[in-house]
Amino acid sequence: MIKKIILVLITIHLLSACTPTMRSHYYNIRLAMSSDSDGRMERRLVEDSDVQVAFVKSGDRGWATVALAFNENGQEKWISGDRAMLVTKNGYVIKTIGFTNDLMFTSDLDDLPLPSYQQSSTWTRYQDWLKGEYGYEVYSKFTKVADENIEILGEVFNTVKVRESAEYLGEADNIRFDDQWNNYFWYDKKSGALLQSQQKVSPFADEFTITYASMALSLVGAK
Amino acid sequence: MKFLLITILSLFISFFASAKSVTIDINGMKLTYDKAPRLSSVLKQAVKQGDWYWPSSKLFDNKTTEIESERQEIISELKLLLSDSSERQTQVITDLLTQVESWQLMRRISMRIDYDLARIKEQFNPRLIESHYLLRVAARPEIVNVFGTSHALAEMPHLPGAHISVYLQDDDLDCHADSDYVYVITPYGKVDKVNRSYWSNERYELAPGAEVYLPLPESLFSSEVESLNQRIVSLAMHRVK
Amino acid sequence: MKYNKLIQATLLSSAAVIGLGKNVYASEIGTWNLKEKRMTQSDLGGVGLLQTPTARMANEGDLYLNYRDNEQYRFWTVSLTLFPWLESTVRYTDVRTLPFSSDPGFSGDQTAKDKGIDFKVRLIKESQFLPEMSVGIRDVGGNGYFESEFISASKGWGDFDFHLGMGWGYLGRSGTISNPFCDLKESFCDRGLRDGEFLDQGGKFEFDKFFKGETALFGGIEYQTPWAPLSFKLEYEGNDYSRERADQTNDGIVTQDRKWNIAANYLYKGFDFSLAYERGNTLTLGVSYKFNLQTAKQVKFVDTPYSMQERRKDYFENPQGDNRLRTTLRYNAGFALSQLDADKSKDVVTIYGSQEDYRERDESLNRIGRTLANNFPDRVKEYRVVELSSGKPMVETVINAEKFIDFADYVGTDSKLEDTYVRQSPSQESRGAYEVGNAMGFYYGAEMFWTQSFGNPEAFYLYQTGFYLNGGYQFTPSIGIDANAKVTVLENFDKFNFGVDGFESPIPRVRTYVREYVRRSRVMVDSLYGHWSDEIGDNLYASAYGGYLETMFAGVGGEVFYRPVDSKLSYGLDLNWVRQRSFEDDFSLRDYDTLTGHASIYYQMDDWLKDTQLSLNIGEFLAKDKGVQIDFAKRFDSGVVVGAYAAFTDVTSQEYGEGSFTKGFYMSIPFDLFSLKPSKGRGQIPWVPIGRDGGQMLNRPVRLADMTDIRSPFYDR
Repeated sequence: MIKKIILVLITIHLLSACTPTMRSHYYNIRLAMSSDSDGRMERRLVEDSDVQVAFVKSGDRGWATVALAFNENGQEKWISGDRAMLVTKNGYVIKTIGFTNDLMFTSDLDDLPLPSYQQSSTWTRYQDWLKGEYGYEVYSKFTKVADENIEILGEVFNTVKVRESAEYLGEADNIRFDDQWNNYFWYDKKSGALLQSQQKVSPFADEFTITYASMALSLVGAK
Repeated sequence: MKFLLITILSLFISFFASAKSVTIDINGMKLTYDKAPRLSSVLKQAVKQGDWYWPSSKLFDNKTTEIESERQEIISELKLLLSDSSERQTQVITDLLTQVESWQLMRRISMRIDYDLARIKEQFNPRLIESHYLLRVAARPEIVNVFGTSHALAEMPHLPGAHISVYLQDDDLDCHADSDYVYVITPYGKVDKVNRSYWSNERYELAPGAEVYLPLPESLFSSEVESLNQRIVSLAMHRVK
Repeated sequence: MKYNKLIQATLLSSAAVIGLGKNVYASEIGTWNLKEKRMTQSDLGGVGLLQTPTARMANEGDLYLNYRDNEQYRFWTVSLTLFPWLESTVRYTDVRTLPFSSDPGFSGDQTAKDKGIDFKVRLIKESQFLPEMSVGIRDVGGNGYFESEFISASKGWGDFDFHLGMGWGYLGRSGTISNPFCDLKESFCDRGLRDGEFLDQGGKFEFDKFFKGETALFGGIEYQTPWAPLSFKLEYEGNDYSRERADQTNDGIVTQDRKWNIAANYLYKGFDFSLAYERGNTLTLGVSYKFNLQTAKQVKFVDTPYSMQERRKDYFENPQGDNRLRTTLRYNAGFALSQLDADKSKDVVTIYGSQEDYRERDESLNRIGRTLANNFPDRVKEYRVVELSSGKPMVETVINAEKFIDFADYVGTDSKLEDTYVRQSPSQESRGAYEVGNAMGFYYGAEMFWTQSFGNPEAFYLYQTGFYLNGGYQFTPSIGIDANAKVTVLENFDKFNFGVDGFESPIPRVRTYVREYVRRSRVMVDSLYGHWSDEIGDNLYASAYGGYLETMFAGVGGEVFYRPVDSKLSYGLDLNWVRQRSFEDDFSLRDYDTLTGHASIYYQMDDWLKDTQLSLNIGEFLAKDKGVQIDFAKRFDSGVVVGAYAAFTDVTSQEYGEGSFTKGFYMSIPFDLFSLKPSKGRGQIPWVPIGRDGGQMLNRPVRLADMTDIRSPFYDR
């Protein structure tokens, strides 16, 4: 939607403008020019934070910082500045609030193989979507792919990278070429803690990259 | 010290606000609040009872006066319709009348009820000020309901990713197969008028727990029956049973 | 790439939750099977096959921008679904095989251009046994190259859509069936135009030709393939191209080898590309882009409104209270405060000022109310918001503080904002307490303008842009002087190769010297006048003004206007004596003078047609012609207003000249739809197919309808 409107903007932006409008143009331009679109909290602040924080990047947007608002019932509930929410179980996104279409429900949570990444664990569950699609089945297979070093807030971690090969089994009315995709999870080798993930909850969702900043720094402290 | 002060303060507040107490029935469990609670604190009690499927949770209150009078009006309109209808129609309308009369009604609050949502967005966390509420929470319903002008009042298994027409193929279900539209009450209290016919390629899926109302046949040339259908389905939204 | 940054920037928010930074992520999640119904556009604009329209209607508020290109024609079209049952299309046609005029000195090597307007009305919706049916007319505003009428029916079956239509005029030129109306009445047998003949004046609704003459059937099939972006069309035409603008002398420039046309449409990132093979010999390429005026909105970078769960209430105790209230009203509620009456001993707080940012009343009042509640203690029972216009109290909103706070705190599930306030004419008390001093003294400002003109002989697109510099002095809130200078910064009006058209106009040239005015100088005095305006009775306003009133006229005038608060109906009367200004210098006058004035009526027709307004101006126009100007406007949910107007006076279409009568369209767009900060400004895109001297109104510098607008607004409410 935003993109659509901007296209029009070019053609009529200069029609007329009264003083408050001028100011709003000025803000627009300033916001557009501003390079400060990285919303990742500084390391010092992460260290001082009372609550656990993580960094999230979605689609082609900039980084944002989210906070762990609730950790209950075996689920982590991360909240953003504009009160959108990502609910994860063992780091796997199972519910969203405040997006253009929300994942309302994921079934068979008890069968989620994470975080124990035995070779070739599988997971079948279905999803309900707020916009009106219900019971769509997803099949996943988890495989350890490599050891990898990743950097978080200037610290290097030795991790195990786990790949989830996911397939959307829900029947499609149309021919679709995007029913299979990969998600990745990076676990700290020493502690086994999840440090980063890169996941799409469905073929039609933007990809989330989540970096567990507080967790990472707590591991550094423990060294 | 600060904590003590807050406690004293809140005691004060509850003293002044306790004129009216609020009772809430969560799936049969009765809770009484001296002071009108926020929805989130009620839901907090609910989650202690289990892991609920929020999309189909329902909240009702006891402000039923308007709803009951609406029911009476609908009943008299149906009777009026009955007085000049054919024999085949008579059966259908009588059935419908019986259904409407048998409904147990409370006022459904048409709002998304979700513990997470209530905690992060103020507008989904109202203060509950009526004297009595009923909260229905359940695991994900594996069924959908069909009611209205149907011979077979039916409960059907919810089908994953299925278009509405798949549910309505059964001829027994639908004595008015010439009707292009059905009404659907979504689990979160919204009424959709849905085209279910062969010529439409618009997709509509029933949510788990959705209720489908098979309407009285509507005429192209008069909106009277259409508006009656709208009213019946809106009333049905307030059904507790 | 800038746009990505802009989008990222929109994700910034000020809501700091649990000490988080200001970043937010609103990610996109789509759907798997659910999709919006896809409509495709015809070559000439509007939902349809290629050459022919179908009965289908796009969604209400859908605006399509289309371009089609083949060897003989280029079409630029804009098609808008005004109501679910009404589609209107405007079109520029470039006839690539014809020169603009026979005189290259006049129009260079530019090819012929034409404008046209189409309408399509849905008669019945599709149902099980009946198709969707629509009736329409094509090309009524221009020279009638494609003039036709049609009735069309469409019936869907899953992924197929079948269409059958009957056309008259261009659409029915092959005459393959006999005109059914001809059997009924003799006069329908002949359209009254011979081969190769086109209209002279154009622009008229030639009702007397409708549904006459040759008639043909047309139709086709659309197929949505299993791959969502791709669809196909097959079309059978009713036109035989025997009389074609691009081939006036039948030189074989446009021929028809086959009556079947085929096309493929491919949707990519919101753009619908089409490739068609038409007439058995012509490739047509095209692209369409759609957005919706109902649903369009922009993510805003704004402070969240105050929550009632953490009220401060300490205005009276806090020495900084006044400052804080002023600042937060401005920055959180968009309200520019000019006067505050808050007395510890009273339970009423009154604020005077104007809403600068939030154009929707609900949003505005919600923010103002929350800001006040956040400052004042519970013993303040009433918030009074007096909104000013031209320094005068115009409307007073009385907010019941207790009810409002309950609403804003989500107490109960029933409370509605509209139950917490009453809008009324400013009370005697509020008027009495108003300090007029705030509304006096010097003021100045600047406004940008952009003037454009399509389809000119010199160049297809002409434009002029710059500033209006505005300044004045207000002696009392009622009396002042005002001046506007027009400063042109950029233009290509120097391409003008004539000033006044060659048409022998029998009516006074009150507007057709326009080219002389706009090209005279880069800096000019646009207006300079003294004015008075006041409320002279209950809901009754009056004004008087004199001086250089607008670009082309000077004189004196006055107006009375009646407008109750939130009334659907308002009306007024104005009378002016004006003399034409010279286009040779800033201050001298020409000989022509006249009396002009109108009775005006504004009616918000929500009871009949949701979100619409009808305005009538009845009286004597600038060229001493008498008649009525009718204006119809429709507001979409996004705030975009689309309107059309026409003036019908005692000037005949022959006297009037090209276009036959004054008419035009406009689209008013809130800047808010594009800006990341809220804003009340609007941009107006006028589209006047051709402007001449009949049915022209004076641009009065003081318009009471505008001054009193906030009493019963139509545009922003």
